[in-house]
Amino acid sequence: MTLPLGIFYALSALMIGFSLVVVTSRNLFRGAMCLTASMGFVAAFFALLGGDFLAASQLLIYVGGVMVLILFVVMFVQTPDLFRARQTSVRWIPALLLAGGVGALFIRAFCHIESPTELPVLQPTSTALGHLLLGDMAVPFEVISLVLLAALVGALVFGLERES
Amino acid sequence: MIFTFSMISHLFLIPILPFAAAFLIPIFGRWLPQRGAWLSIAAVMASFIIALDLLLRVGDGSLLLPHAVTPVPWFSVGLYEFVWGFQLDGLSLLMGLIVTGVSLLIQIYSLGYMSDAPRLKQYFASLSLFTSGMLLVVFSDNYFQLFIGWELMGLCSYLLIGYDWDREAAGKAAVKAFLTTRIGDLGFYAALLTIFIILGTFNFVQIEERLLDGGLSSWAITLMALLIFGGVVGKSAQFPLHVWLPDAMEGPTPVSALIHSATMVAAGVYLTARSYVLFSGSPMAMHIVSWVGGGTSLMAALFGVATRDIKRMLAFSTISQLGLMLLGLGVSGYSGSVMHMATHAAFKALLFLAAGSVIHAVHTNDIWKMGSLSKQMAVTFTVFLFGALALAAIPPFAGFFSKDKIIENIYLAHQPGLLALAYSVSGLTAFYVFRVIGLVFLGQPKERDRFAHAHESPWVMTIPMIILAFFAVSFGWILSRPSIFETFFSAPLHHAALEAAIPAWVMITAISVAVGGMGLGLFLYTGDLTRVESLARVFHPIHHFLFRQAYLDEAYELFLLRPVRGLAAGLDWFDRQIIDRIFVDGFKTIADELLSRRTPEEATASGERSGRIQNYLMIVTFAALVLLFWNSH
Amino acid sequence: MITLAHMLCLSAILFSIGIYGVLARKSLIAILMSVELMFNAANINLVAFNRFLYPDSLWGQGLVLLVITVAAAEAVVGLALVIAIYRNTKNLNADDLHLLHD
Repeated sequence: MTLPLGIFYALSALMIGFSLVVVTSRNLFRGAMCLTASMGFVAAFFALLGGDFLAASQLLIYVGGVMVLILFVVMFVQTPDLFRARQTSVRWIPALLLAGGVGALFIRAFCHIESPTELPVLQPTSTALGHLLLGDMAVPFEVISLVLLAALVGALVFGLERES
Repeated sequence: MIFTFSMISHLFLIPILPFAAAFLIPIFGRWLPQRGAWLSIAAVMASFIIALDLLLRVGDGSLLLPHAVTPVPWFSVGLYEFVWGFQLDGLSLLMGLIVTGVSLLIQIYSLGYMSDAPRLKQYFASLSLFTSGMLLVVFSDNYFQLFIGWELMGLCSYLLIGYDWDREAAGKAAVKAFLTTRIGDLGFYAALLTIFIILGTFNFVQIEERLLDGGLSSWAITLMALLIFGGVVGKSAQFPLHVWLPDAMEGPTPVSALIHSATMVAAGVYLTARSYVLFSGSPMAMHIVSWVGGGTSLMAALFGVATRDIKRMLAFSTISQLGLMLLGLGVSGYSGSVMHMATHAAFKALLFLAAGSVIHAVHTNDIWKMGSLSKQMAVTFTVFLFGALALAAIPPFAGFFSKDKIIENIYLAHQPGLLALAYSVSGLTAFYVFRVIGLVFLGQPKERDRFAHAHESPWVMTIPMIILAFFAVSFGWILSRPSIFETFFSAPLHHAALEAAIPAWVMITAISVAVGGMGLGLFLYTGDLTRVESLARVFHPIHHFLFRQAYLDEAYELFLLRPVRGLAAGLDWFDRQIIDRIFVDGFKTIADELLSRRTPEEATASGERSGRIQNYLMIVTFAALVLLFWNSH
Repeated sequence: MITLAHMLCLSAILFSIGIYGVLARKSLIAILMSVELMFNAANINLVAFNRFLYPDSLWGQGLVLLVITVAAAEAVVGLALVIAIYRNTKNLNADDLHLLHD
């Protein structure tokens, strides 16, 4: 067991643990906080895999943006008595089976996949990503901005208070 | 006008200017004078001027026909490249001048006729779009592009017939026109495919070359020709697809004048003339063309005798004259038919505009409610008379020259049956048009009030009519001048000069038949109508049969439309009761049954077991799992 | 050392945890959070493939950036919907929202 591998197992155990809390906890607020932590670990894995810019953006966008949003909404709709209500519906058995089935299938497919032994040294990716996004990936990049615009408009439309 | 630079490259402008106007008018019409009418008129006038300039340059020899503009590539499929190509030859120059000229005059007329109509933007935009479509048909150098213009015209015809969509009759007439011509267009579409498969190209010049090279079976040529003729039958309202044209008279009269007399319906004849080389290669197709044309011509003339609506009379007359043109083409009489297409455009448009002037004045289409209008509307009467004389082919009016040419061609083809047919149609034509003149303009007014209120139309309506009347009088003579005749009417396959000896009796019979018809019509229907009334009692059954257009509409309804509607209803039942029940509701019930028994009922109403997203998601996941598992082996 | 198989199995586990959450949770927000988990699992997959199989290219990471953006947009719209539903019915229980049924 080398150090990198050991770190990997530790990190993954923590991340899986937090994720399990997300899907089982009765308290939505606790679930949201654990999701935030889980996303932080995802950023760690990105960094491990050589995506330094990606790790930073994951933290900024997901943790700093999306999770804050979810936390706001959770606090907006949660009432104290709901903390006590059961969160998991009775269909948890078939759900567990299905989820387990999917996971098992993927693991079975992936566990013997070939992996190269010699990997190039990790380089900083920011410049290269910049060239890629504004060069070969320019069209999807522009289209994404339209998607964001549509999402903004949609959210506004749904979220505005209607004077009745 | 003297231009120092070549304007042939502006040939493509002729269809494009009205096309652009058609889109600018709806957008900017609000701020334009007369709701964009002047923009439409300006566009078509510009096109007309360009066409005139081309004519002048052909005339002084600086431009040689045929001339092609460098095609602009559009897109390619496999090895074949589709292009935007335009060509100029005698036929297309003639038609281009006629279309732009007549369209211009009719749009000016519309300023007066439609002055109090709503939605003028739509009207003028549709007229412009239509004009551009017809010009596209006329100047295209390949079948594919021609088809685009063809369909464009069909759309505008629908829009314009149904212009008054508040009236149910107008809406139904528009749909009927569109669907009926659609059936013909199926044939045209099949023709496009067949031509491409057999000949490998859409371009007219290349097709002619390949046809003349020979080596094609006569069945192939016949098939292509007949499929094209299918489109012609639809667009030019020949039997059995003629039923839409009488009903199309529901549209405003200027529309009838432009679309359903001078231009769109002539597009079928144009197409046949353009495909002349193809048709000539198949004697059987030519035979069918001439007999369908001739038969339709006679049938429509008979219907025209029995009608009481002035516009319907003109509609039947159009069908009949188009039939004559096709008859002429079928007997290899290219020159006569093309010339008649040209003269017919002038005098038929004139007749429609004059009829519109009358309708505008007396507010009815029924000829039995008019009478003695020559006293109140002298100008309209005069121009209508000129148009009628041209239609009846009385020399020296325009129609005489062209119809006589057709009759000469029939004679030279040694077809006595068709010759007799043509003579009968001539006589009937003269008869029914002068019947209308007698009832409408001469004799005693049938309804005093209408007569008293009738007055001449404003100058914006009468001037175009007068211009057209000038052509109705002189066009035939002008087109017969040898140099002009040479330019416009030389057939693609140079037959030996048909100046062969034509006995005098051919022309004399034609003239006498026409004069006889005219005389009979005037005699019976002018003044005191007692003679007619006694005749009417005798001929009543025949008259009724013809009045109802031989019950063809009813036959179509019974044998065609009802079965199709029944089939549609049956399929709808099948779709709703069987397919929906089994596949949609069935699966939903299965999903709910499988899973919903475990849903807690605590906070929810009991018995509600469906519509739960998560249930459906579970089914989806399960299905995905199955598929993945199955494929992972 | 860390191989591709390690990363992929990790993301598979994360993904299946997300699926369980989507299918078994009652509150709409909880379902949305589980969907975010699934997104992250897919992103890990993408970066892993990029690193191990195509180390000279960066397309995987570029795609991840786009996926993050789209996921953020989706979360925004979804949460706006949640708020709208809450305003109308004061109830976010997934089982109670069955208006899709005839």
